[in-house]
Amino acid sequence: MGAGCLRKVPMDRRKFLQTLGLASAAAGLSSAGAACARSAAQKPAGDGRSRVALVTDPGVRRGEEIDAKRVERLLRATLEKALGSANLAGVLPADEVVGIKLNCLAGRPLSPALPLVEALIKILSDAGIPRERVIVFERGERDLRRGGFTPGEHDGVRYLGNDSAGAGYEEEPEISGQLGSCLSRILTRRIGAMINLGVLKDHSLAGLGAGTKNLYGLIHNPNKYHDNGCDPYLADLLAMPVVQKRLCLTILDGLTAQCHGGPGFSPAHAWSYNSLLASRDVIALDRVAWDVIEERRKQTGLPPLERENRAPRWLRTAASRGLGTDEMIRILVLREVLS
Amino acid sequence: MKRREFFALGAALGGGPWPATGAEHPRKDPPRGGTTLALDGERQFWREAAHYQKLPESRVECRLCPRRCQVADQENGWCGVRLNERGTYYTTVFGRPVTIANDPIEKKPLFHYKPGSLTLSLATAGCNFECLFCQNWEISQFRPEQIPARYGFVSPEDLVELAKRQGSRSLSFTYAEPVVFFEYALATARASKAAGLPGVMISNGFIESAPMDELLQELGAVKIDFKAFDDKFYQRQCRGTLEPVLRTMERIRKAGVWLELVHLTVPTLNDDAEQAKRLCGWVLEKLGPDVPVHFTRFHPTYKLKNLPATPPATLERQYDIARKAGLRYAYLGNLPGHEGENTRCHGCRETLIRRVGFTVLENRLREGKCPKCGEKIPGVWS
Ligand code: SF4
Repeated sequence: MGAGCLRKVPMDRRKFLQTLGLASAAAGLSSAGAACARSAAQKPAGDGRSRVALVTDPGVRRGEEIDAKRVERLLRATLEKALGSANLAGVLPADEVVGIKLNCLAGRPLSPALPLVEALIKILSDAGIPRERVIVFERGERDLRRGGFTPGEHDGVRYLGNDSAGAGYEEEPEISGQLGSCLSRILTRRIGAMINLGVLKDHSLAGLGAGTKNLYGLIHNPNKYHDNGCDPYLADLLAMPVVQKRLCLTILDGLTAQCHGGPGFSPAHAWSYNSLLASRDVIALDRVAWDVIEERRKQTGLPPLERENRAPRWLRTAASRGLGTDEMIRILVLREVLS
Repeated sequence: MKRREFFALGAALGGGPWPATGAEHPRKDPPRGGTTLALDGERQFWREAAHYQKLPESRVECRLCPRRCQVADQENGWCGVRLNERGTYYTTVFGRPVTIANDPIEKKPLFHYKPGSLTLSLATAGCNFECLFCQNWEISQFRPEQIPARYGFVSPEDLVELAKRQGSRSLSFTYAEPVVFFEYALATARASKAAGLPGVMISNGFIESAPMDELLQELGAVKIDFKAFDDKFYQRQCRGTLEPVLRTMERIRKAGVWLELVHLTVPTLNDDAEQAKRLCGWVLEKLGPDVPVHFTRFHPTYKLKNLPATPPATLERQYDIARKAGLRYAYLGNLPGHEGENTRCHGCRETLIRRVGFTVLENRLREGKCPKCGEKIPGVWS
């Protein structure tokens, strides 16, 4: 347990603030902290394509449960493919508090798996980011609980909702395109880097409730931005400088995925996909996720999302603004099946 | 909050007018930050919603307002206060006011309804519009779980009891948007009517006919924010539409419930004379000359901070247009001390009620009639 360790070592002021998750707050909002070690939203492979890893481990479950060791191995393999190395120090700014944004709306059966979150925290630790510099967060404490997480501090890691004491939202709305929202103070003041940990699933309005859609948990009023299949609002949110600055990596939990009936859990449309996806380009990642969802829909006799008038058009909008890549020809999909 | 503590709140409510800043503003608590209630705590405010339709695959369609949100399992409607849980639709704000105050009725503003009286005023979180100039956006544009439930569960009966203890003569659903807390407002209006305290609704009027008709059976008065006589304004500035609002105003008149209108005049967006003429013409034709229309002053706020406050001359021009159009009772608002706050007899122009801000300085009406010419003045005066 790292918690005791940090408490015993005398700290300078910066380190002290970091462990409180206040380094960014202390540095101010707009230009706080170092940006993720990447250029804008594009994270090209050597040939200019965005890298998306899609790695499967058919043996990741032990019975109904996710095997902690196997999921850690799976995550390492996925990161290795997406980033060229499983060492997250290469993509996260040094000395910043790292936020892991979950998506627990659907409850435990379709939220990021607990062993997966724990594996990610361990990998962060290996990269020199101690548990005390990690905040796992969600829209509200209620969402965390629904996903099986208990708000509060556990072994040094803080689990927070935007409604947790000391969290909340910024006082004034930030305008970006057609979107105007008060941003989560966890995002703006308590973390310097964010790993977006969503779920591979369908969304009744946005078409896809995977990577980009998970960012709606960063604003106070997502209910106002579901019109027109969330287009252009998702792109507007992704374009916000503070989001661009913090968002370093997106991982999708596809251990259990769902091709229809989202964002809530619909057992009839969920399946054990036993896979993880990751990319530094959230739009490219969602583009690949869309294909996975469509493939499963086809297999199970469901019509394409387009026919239900809910194809994720916002992907095109985001890509046209340079926020990522939505053309498969410009995406390098790195697949692997672990044995 | 325990029952005794809740009623002890009475002292904190003050029983008097808020500072006459011009804008109707609720008691503000910073809604952001601070834990609200645990999951189970929030559930006490859930009631199955009225006016919705179940759809396949655990989806629902809300039929409370013309937005008719289709909502998937675990999602909120557009207003943020209605939630689909496994195919059952819930209001999540029954008994969950986020602000309660004992206001002068003039603050609503209602000028022809029990002048000089106090009205116990409350709101929950949420709204089915998003006006870029919303003065109360800190409650209307947030979801309930984002605003501390400072009073705990407050039943309709608790509100009636509090109103009686506070000397209120009505109970107002106001500040944010009562349409979205329909179930709570309806139950409270029923309880307060039974106790002899009429319910008052301060609304954008963006509601379906069936729920509005239910409310109208219980209410004593309604004030509608008539934002513009321009559908584009409704779409761009409020994210709503005009037509349902027109329909609601006509229904209120037909039901014989007292109605007043407010037009917040925003520089360059809805302040042109032609639009004012069309608006007044519509009011005259569809609602009649006796419906008071308040032209009120805009102050920059929320997402509309790049415009100046409305010049008084613009409001005075609107006032003249209304009078020339044949509307008998035009008023100016958010201009404390202006002559346009006073009520004058439509027959002889005698000043009947003098006001400054929300305070009635003098009321010369005699049994609802002008003391000089004897003309009956439309309104509810006692
Ligand atoms: S009341 Fe709310 S949920 Fe219902 S239709 Fe209107 S905005 Fe949608």
